[in-house]
Amino acid sequence: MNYNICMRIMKPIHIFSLFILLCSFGALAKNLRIEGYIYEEESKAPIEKASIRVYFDKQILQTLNSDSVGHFAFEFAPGNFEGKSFTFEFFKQGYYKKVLEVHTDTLKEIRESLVRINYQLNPLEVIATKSPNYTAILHKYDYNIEGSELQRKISSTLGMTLQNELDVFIHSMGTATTKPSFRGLSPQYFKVYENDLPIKDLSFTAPDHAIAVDPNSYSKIEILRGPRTLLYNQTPIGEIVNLNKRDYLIEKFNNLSAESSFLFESVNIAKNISLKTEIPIYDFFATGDFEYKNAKNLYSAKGLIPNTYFKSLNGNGGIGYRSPDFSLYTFGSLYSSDYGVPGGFVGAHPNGIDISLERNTQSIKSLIHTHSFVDNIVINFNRTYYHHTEYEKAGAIGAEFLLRNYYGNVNVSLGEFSLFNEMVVGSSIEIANQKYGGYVFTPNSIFSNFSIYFYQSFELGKHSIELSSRFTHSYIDPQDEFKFPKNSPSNRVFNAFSFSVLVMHYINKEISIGLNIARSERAPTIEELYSNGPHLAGYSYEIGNKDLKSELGYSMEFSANYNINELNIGISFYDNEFLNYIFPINTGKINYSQLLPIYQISNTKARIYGGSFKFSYEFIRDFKANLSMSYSRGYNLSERKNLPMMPPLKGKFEINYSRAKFSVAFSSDFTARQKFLGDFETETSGYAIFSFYFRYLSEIWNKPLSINFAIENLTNQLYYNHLSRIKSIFPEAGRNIKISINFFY
Amino acid sequence: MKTKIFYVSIILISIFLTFTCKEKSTITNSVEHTEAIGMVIYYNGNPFLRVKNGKIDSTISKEFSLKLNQTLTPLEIKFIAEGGDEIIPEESEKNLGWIIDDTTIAELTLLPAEKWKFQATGEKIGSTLIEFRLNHIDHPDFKTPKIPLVVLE
Repeated sequence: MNYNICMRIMKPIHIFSLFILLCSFGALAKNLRIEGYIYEEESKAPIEKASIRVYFDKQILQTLNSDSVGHFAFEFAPGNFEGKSFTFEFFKQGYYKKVLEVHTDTLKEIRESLVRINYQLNPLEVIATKSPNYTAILHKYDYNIEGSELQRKISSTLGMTLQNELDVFIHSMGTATTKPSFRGLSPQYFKVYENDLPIKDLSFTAPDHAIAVDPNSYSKIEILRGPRTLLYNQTPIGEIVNLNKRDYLIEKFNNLSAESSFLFESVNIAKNISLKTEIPIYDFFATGDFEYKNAKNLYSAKGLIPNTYFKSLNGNGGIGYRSPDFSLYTFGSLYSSDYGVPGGFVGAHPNGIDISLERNTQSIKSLIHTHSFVDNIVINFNRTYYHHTEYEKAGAIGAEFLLRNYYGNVNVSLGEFSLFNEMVVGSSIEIANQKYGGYVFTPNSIFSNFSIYFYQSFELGKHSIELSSRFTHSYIDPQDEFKFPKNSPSNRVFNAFSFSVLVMHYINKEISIGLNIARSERAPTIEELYSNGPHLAGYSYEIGNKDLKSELGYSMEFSANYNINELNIGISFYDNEFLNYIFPINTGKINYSQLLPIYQISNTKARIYGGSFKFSYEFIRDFKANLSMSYSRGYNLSERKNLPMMPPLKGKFEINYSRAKFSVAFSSDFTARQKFLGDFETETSGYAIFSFYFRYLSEIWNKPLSINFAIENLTNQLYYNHLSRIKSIFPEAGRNIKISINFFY
Repeated sequence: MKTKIFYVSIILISIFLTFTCKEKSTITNSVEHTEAIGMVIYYNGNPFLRVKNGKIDSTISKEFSLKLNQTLTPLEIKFIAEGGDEIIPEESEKNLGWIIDDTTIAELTLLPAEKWKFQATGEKIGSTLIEFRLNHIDHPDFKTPKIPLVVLE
């Protein structure tokens, strides 16, 4: 008998599928037991909290949820099931409901057969497509970039990879330093995680500091906003990027696999090579990957931009153990990078600087599956070593940073009860030792914090509700205070409380609206408290404020989505009102050593508001038009003037054609003129650049091969990014031919 | 089960040792930065040009003035600390620098074996701007505003 039930895949790009990979039917002496697992089709990830309802004779027999490894098990008392059908309904928010009917006569045969073979695998597949009403994805609160989409977007840096995402704007100071900014908020509101553990580097402290990750080593980029972010950090009005390969604690793989990829970009002669492998060994498994990246100076429409080279090496290795009740995965990584930051503009190092950094991490992740009211307990530990040196001419050290960070957390997930779908309570602790050397005027400091948090989601009629809160106690202890007579540092203690509530309302099958209200409070950083010296990259002399209060803001966001057949329209408006926005205020004074304006870090009243719009329409079969636009505006309410470094309106329009084996796209990225300027800023003109993309899927030795080809900035347009620190003299990248090849075996 | 735990422990320890063996534990931050608020140039022991708090002291001179084909030597520069004392940096990484907008107007050169004494020659009649710097390796610990540099007949 054929148990494969396949729905037509209407939108291949958006496919997520339910898999019942295994459904074994066992018989006890009297009771009938049916059990199985639910997986996603594409990622093979188990689906947690999927609801499964069994009908018999039009009566509901039982309803239950899959557990954290996607497992479910029904047990029925003996009854007269002969000659009738069991109906299984599988549903979870984000997926089409799947209905499967199995005749009890067939079931009887299988039961008997399974009794005979004693729990051997007997695959039963159910394939379904992702529900268009998956509101968290449609409203962009929780979505993934993976598979073919990631292969298309992947670039040399995380910033370049995410540059076209909604509400994401790019700060840069040379190619290697491109960094995403969420809705024009400070870097504190865009946090990067790796396998749910924080990536600790100093990228948020200065524009010339790069994010110490290689995006080519990951298979999935998970983007989170809203209440769920409080499971990670203290800022629910920001965005979290969680870089993943696979959730090895619960995802099972049975075969040795490997992937190799190659990426070339002509605009800076960049070559990226990546190798990944996964090796199952009985209950154990091993993972490893290696990435090499080398890029020369960047070409713009105006010519070569000096000192924009970068190169990096990245290696990860891990080993794990997995059983139904307990999983453990321990892994380590070594990342090193050398890159240049251009100079020659006002306030910067005259000849630019060369930066060398390394980041080593050792991590342990474990999952205890209790199969009880407490569904599972996750315990994580992460240690990071980060060393960053900035070399001026003749190899002399201009600045040096050393960070050791220890982070651990425990998350307890409770099983479903009553109307509650999902509940997580947890706690984290972090201790960091941060040291400074060279031309840096911040005291060495020890930082520690302790957090408790919870997250809850439930359905109430036509409402889907998520709520979360987090409390963090932080302690900052500067060392050698006597060396800093000016703005002499002192110990600080902060208690921060944040919450977020998201309510989604389904007006009907096509229209959903959402309202997110949040309070965001975070402790200041060491630099914000204690810095006391010139910030050459920022053309300012920054004096920290040891008396700062926590940064506190309230946020409200309204979103709406209309989704019918081939058309999807989404819109959102947000307003962030900061009672204490930690921000450098121009004191009007000059530092007479550097002749730089003195900025004092202060608690400022500020408003950052804006909106975004997205539109997608399949106007002819396989032809789709996409339009997205993001806008953000920042206003300093204390001084009644614009906040600096706020992005102008940006957007992307694309027409693409996709068939099974290949896809083609033409797109235009456009940005409006920025005329709302902060202190010392100059206006930036608007621009539009055009790009072309082609993808072909093939096979070699029956193994999938993906070839991606793109020409970005087709017309070699000269344009400037308002958020670039070097825009006064250097434009953005010129025409770029990009080729990537991925081979899976 | 015990064997599995043993193997996992061995692997854990190996990973930690492998990834932590080359780490640096300290960095030095012993470099002293000169907090100057001005500078004075002396010619033959007499004040020739003075800049303090970003302004030229016009009671001494409004500009750096030279005559055509005349060489002033020795010129000595001292920096004004925050308390008002005049200091000469002693650290080996510190050195004197200047930026002349139009280098055809005048030429400045350090005197042999000297770090803070120099000479200036008027090369061409005209005016330009000059900025003096107290450099610490590559970055300036102190710099003056743009000062008029004039070469007269």
